[in-house]
Amino acid sequence: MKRFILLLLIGLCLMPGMRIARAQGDMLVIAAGQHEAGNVATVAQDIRVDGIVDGDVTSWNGSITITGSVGGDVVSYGGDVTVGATGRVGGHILASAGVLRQAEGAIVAGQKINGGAGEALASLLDLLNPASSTGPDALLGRSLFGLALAVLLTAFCLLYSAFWPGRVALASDTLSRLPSRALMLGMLTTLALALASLPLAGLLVASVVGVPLLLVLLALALALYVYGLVVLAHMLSTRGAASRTSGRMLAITLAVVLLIAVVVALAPAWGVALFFLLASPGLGAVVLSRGGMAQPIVAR
Amino acid sequence: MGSRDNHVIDDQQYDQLLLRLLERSGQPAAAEPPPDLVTRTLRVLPQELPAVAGRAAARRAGRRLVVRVMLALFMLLIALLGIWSVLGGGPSLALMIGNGVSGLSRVLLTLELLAKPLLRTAGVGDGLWMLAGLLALAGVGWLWWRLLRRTPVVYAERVT
Repeated sequence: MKRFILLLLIGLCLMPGMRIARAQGDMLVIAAGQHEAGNVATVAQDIRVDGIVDGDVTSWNGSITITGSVGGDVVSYGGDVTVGATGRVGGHILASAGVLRQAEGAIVAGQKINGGAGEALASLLDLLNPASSTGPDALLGRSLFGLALAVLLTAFCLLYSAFWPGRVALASDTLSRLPSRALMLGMLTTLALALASLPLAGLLVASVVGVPLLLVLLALALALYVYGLVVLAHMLSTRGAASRTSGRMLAITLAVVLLIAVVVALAPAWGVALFFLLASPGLGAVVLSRGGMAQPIVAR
Repeated sequence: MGSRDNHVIDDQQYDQLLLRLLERSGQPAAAEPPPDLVTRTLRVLPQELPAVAGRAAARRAGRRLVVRVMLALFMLLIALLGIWSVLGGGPSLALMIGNGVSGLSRVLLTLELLAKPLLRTAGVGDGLWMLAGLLALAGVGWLWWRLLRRTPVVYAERVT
């Protein structure tokens, strides 16, 4: 059973990695004469369509160049969208944060939207996976992001400790008594959220009325992870000490938050990953202790 | 030797005893009711009979329920149309209420387009990744539930 769980976890951890490696290579090209019956989608990879695509062409952070024909919509959150003189787009075009260029002679049947509601999302994507990661401006932007994150995380951690000291203590006790189970449960929760978040977010945005629900769910998920981080800091502050002091707890919280902030300033995507990774065991303990309201019974 | 039942007094006897004791201390002080007590009470009571008022309240509750159900159905219809237009190539919700150039129609079109990369990325590889993801999600969910079930808990009485 344990071997099966371990294999499944390793397999699941490798799966997204393969996908990112595939998407971060060179430009994806639909060559002239090539016919793609479905959709074309990438995450951070640029796309060039010289041939024919019947469906949509989408990318999260890559640029899209159309000199052939696209039957559906063309969407890029963070990259530029360029339609060449020979390009034909049957649907709409959305370039949230990038530049939208249309050469003379290019045909776009639908609407062309540049900026708009997706700009904030595109900016966030650019922050996590910047198009140009060098230069003083980029470093300053990342440092400010890290600083803002550190301040917010510290504030929320202190709020949890102030308002729910008993719950935090109970969950922390669970983490110290059942560390492996809490870690596994936390990692499984993170994995399940990672697997479900993409299609769920897509469906909620597509449903239009689900957009407020999506925002609430995002806030709730982040609140749970911050709770997990507080539980970890509390557990570390009680470990090896005769009694926990609030000064020690504050120092450890600040140390954990600063570590995350520094990694975010250096490599934002890794920093965010570190935050979820560090918070996962605490989150597992929170789940095991039913939100910090129950004491798990340890079999001896 | 007596029994405990010998000390039991019934309610009537107890009331009389209590009244005697209260009388001895001059209580309860008798007060005349205000002269317009009945008029005032009748004035604040609703004019309609209780049965009529009950029927009216039931009608109002029914109307509220109908409005809520209609609203929920309308939102469900919007949600299904939105998902259909993005996933199944159905009619665009945005273009049903305008041309997508301005106003609400533009906002809806932007939302429809914003949802596309999220769903298209999930459906890359002819849905094989989606299938693998769903299977993995089911496996993870099963393990998660199993781990949770294997850890019995005792609820603390009061935790802040």
